[in-house]
Amino acid sequence: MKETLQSRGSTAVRTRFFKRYGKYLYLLPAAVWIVGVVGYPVTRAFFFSFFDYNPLRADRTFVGLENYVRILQDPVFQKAMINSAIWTFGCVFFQVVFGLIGAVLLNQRFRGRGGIRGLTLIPWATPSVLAAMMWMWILDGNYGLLNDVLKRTGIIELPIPWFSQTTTALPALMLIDVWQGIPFFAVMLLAALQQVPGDLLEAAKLDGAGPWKIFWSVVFPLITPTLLITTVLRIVWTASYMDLMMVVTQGGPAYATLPIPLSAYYTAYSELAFGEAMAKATVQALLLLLFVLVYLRLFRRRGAVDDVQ
Amino acid sequence: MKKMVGAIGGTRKAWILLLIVAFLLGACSSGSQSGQSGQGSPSPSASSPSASLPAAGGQKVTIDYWYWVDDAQNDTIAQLIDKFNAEHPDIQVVGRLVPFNEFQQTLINAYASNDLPDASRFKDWWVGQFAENNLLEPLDGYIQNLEYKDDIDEPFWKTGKTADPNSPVYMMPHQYITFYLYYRKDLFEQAGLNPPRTFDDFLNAAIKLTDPAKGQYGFAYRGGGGGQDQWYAFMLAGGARMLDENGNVIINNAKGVEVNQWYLDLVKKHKVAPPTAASDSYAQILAGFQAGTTAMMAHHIGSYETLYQTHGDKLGVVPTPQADPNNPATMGTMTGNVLFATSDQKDAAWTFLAWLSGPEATDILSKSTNGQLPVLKSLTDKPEYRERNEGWKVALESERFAITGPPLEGVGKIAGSVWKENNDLALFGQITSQQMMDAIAQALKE
Amino acid sequence: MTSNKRIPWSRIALWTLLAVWLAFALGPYVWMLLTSLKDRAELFTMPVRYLPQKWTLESYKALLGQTDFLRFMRNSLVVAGSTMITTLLLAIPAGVTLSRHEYRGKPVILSLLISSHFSRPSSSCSGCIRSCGKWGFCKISWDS
Repeated sequence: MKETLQSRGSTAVRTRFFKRYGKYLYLLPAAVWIVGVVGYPVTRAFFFSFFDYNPLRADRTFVGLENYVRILQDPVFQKAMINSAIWTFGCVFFQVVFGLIGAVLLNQRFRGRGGIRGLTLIPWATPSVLAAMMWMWILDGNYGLLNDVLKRTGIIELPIPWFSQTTTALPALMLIDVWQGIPFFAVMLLAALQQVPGDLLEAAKLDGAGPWKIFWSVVFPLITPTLLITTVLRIVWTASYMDLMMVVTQGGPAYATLPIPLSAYYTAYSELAFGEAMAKATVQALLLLLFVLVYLRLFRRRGAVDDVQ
Repeated sequence: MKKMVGAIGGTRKAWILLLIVAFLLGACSSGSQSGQSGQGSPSPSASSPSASLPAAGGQKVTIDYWYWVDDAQNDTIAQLIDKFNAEHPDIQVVGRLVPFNEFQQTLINAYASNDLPDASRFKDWWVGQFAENNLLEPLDGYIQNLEYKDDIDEPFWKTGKTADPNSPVYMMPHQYITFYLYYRKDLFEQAGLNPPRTFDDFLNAAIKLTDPAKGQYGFAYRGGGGGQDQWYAFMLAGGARMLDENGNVIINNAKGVEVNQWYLDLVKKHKVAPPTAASDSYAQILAGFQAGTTAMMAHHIGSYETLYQTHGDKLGVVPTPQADPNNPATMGTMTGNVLFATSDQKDAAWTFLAWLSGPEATDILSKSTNGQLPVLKSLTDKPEYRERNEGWKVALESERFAITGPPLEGVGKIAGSVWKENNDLALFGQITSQQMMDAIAQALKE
Repeated sequence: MTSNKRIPWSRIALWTLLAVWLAFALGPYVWMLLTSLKDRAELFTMPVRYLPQKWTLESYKALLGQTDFLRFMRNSLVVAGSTMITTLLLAIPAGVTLSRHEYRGKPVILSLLISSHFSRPSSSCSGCIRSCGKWGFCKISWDS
């Protein structure tokens, strides 16, 4: 307030400048970081995708769109794209469903609620490599707990080699990721549920609505913005996630669990074709971008991005 | 700004926060300098700068040495590094443990970010790849002055060279590995079987000892990471070769396809391997053999101590079963050490490598659970090695007919991903044995 | 006279569901704990034993005595701590200002911020970041 009283020449100009543009300065540290740590490598990667580049050699030759053409025609990459789609949408779908159920559950009143909410977050907080090791042991084809339980209850006769079959490998990995991701959704949705004003619920009850109707007509629309944001974030993370596949199955067996990011990684470090690898990474980024744009457009009316409550 | 400072709780607290950040950033980089990582995460964590103070008159020189271990519970190599540091006050070796599964990638990453160590443990499969791109320092000059250089036979030196006949030695040989076969003496006796010597013996025994209902299987097939070792051992034993005398790639000829099919059929047709075979890596086949799930396992001396602890006298060892016992062959592979051309402390690094590969350190290493066959004749001639136990006997005996992979760049790729990917496809019937061999031949030719 | 305290159906259902929820979330850890207390030989005996017959701390002893576990933990702590603090330092001002002030092209800025997640640093970081300190951040940021 003091500043506006001073109106002497350059000081006035300076203060007006700060008033108008000062707020952008707050964005500067984050912006610099993103440009430097994220933007620069991404741009560089995009640049490399037009070259034939062996990381152990010093030279690179420009090949234009050849990398892109080659990877899109490669049946292995096509499988990777399908795997990524199944992986991303499958995992997120189950996380949304069970996360929502969990949030409703945790929103009830019961003793020890705070503690149980805290405990729920532990799978989310576990490093992915450790989670992978834990589940690898539980799902072990010979000595695993799950196989043992299934055998004892008579559901199966011979133990299932979860990670050695093309049919069960990806679902098994999805189980691990869903297990890790449900707490995230549960906690986010719980926060949203708690923001629902009590009097709205009261009013609905007075109007004679049953709990099911209350949920879908009153509660659900109010938590939709949070749900949509959380989902889109989770989709973006899950699409780029390759730790589990790398540790547990290395993309196998027979490419059954190979997602796009892992495919890019192997292309870069085993086949030493960095240019192709960067092309794969770029294709993924573009697909994600496209998806997010479509998603935002679709749900703009429901208040997805711009107007956060 | 004022608002933010206000939010934190005053200027003083803001300063304290900034100091904490600065301290942590500093700790982060210095903590990683004394750096051992090995979190099992696929990207390299902060590593130390390779440049250090020059070794001028009494000033300490720091050398970075990267290595892997087969047995994570044994820290012999770390102890050897400490020993060296104690005995050489002017050279400090900083060891970094990198899991073997990511070793090749970590090195490549390090090169790309100009962060290679001075020296590193190394496999003969990678020599082709790295040497042809001028990343390895030729060692001939250093070797000339090595006092025990005559203690190492020519075939061992060869594993450190490339395919070029005039190639210098790039990798200092250290620990040799020959593949052989473990089998359960008690299970064989019970079934009235003789120790397997030929391919037919082997298949017969495997079939007899397989009973899925009881969860018993004949052979621990390694279809997961690293399985190309076992595969190559059986291919060689079956009479297939990667190259002919003239250096042409012949792995995909009729013989190669035939032996490969035989090996695939162990899982596909005869089903003598556990159902998890396609994804079983070393940890799994070891566990399976220890638990008694499998009756036979192909590996090398590195696992003898561990298995002996579990099975004691029930542990039997024979050389890799052969298709033609008159022309035996098995897989040999060399683990050695290299100097990187990017290092600026080469002399000091060499001092370390020479010490590490010398009789004293090699003796200590070879006797630990992380050790394999020493390349020094003076050691292997000693009765304490030759007669140590069955494993050592067979391993040393197998040296006579062990063949190492050709020093081609493509071998690195095969070890990295080409073998496993194609083997998976073949196991699931998506490609034929011929196609698989063609893919491998292709990788070799590139 | 004692009042008839019958637990309503809904309570039972709630507690059952909570039990299932907790079992699913924490079960694997319990199994890991039990596994860590078994001795080597018992790990692989068939059929699978749930409780260890012989409770032992030998695995923990081996972990602390024969591996560099403590140093790894320290590394983890340092890297995690510094990442957290850096992230807070960068994000707090940005968040404060984004929520309080008007911006031209706010959706664009927000989208740009989110888009930073699209590309995993691990796949594009190679070959670009040379200084030692930055590698630490590079590694953590792709661990989300």
